[in-house]
Amino acid sequence: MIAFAGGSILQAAVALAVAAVLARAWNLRNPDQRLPYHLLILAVPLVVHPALFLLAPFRRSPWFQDRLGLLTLASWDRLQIGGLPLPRILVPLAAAAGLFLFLRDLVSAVATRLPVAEQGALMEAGAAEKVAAAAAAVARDMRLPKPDLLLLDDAEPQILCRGMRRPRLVVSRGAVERLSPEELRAALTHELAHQEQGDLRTGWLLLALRALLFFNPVAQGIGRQALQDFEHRADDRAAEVTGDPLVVASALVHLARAEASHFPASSSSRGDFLHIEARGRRLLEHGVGSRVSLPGPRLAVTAVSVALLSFFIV
Amino acid sequence: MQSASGRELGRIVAAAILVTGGTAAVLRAVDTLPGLLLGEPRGIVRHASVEAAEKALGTKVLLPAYFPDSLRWPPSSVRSGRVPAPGLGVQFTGRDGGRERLFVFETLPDGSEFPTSLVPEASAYHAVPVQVGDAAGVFRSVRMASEGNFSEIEFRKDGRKILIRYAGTGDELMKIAGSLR
Repeated sequence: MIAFAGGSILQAAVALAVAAVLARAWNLRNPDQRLPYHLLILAVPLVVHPALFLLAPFRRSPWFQDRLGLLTLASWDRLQIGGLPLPRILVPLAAAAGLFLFLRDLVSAVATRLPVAEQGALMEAGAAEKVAAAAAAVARDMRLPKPDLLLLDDAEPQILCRGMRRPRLVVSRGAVERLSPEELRAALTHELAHQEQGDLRTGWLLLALRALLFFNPVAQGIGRQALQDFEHRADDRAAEVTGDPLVVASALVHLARAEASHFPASSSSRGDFLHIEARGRRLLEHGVGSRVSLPGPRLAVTAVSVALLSFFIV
Repeated sequence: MQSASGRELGRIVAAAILVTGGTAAVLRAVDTLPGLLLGEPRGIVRHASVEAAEKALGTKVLLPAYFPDSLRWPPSSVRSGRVPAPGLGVQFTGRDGGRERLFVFETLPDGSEFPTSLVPEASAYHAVPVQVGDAAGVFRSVRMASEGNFSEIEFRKDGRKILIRYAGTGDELMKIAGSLR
């Protein structure tokens, strides 16, 4: 078990390092093109490592480990603390960290996806019509069907996309009051971009995959990175549709500040705020990331590199 | 256009090869750290005791029943390796400490080669055939670069290849070899 978990963590870490170096070398900044690399890194502990573990047991032979292994737990077993080989101490610690990261994100995901109370008061008619008209206009621009809306008469600022089977936009009075018409349009575009890409479904799938890798802190970190890619991708799409990255950034920051002032004591709100400020800066400093050529071959050679290295990590 | 794509593809593959090769080199270097910290080459494991080595290897270790007073017990080190075949080495210093004076190397039953890096290099300058009990062996005078001159005897016992290197007299070495059990 220690060997399996340790190998999984090591291989994921090496895959992350290789993918990160190549992404930097190729100047991969577009989140749409970075996302497959994060999914590739997740595929290593999920598919490559178990496959090698089951189909190539000769990798665990002394001969392979001593002669061909690049990074082997057997080498590190020789180092002992209190009579325990070092991997037997570090791997459980890493697994605990992985579990903590997974549970933290699971709780957050479930909390934000709890059913919205439909018995709450709905937005007054005048404001609701304006929001509905703005949403319909954005959907037309994005060539999407008119979205289902849930418009809440709630001071808490909310604009988000909910529901896997029946996605709909949830917009609150608090958000409408704090955003200018242009910022509201940008925020709606961002959320519809999530619907356009099927991010809700993919997000839950990603969470399920992370559950299988609960012991792997690298996989948990990459899972979070992938979710950030979804957000960056939606930010870029909103900037593309509105033609104005500044208004998208402004909408992000205004909403985040409004939420932070609504929940001043919440540390997660403060953390989210810092993250959203970073997203705004990214939009303003880099704009929509340009796409590199030959994305398919780049991903393919990265996959081959990672798989090859994984073979020699035991 | 096609040659531009071809050149770009070449650059992509070159970058991947460079990064993969560099990563492999770094990983291999990192994997030598335990050996550097322990002062043992790759593949050699140091055990806390003879009993620990027996447990790790899953077999009893042959040790000399005849043990000169000039040597110190317990062993100064017990080391094992696995490639190309499993085996171990037990080393003893003199009673006053200092450098090793007796080395006992053995393979596991049916083994024919000692693990790489287990047996220190030595150059032989004299060899004669000898008999150790019922087994034919070779008696050599050797020089180890860092340890000086030794006598050694190599033979097979209970299916194992045995090499004993001793910094004392040839007679004592033959007694040590004959008492191995």
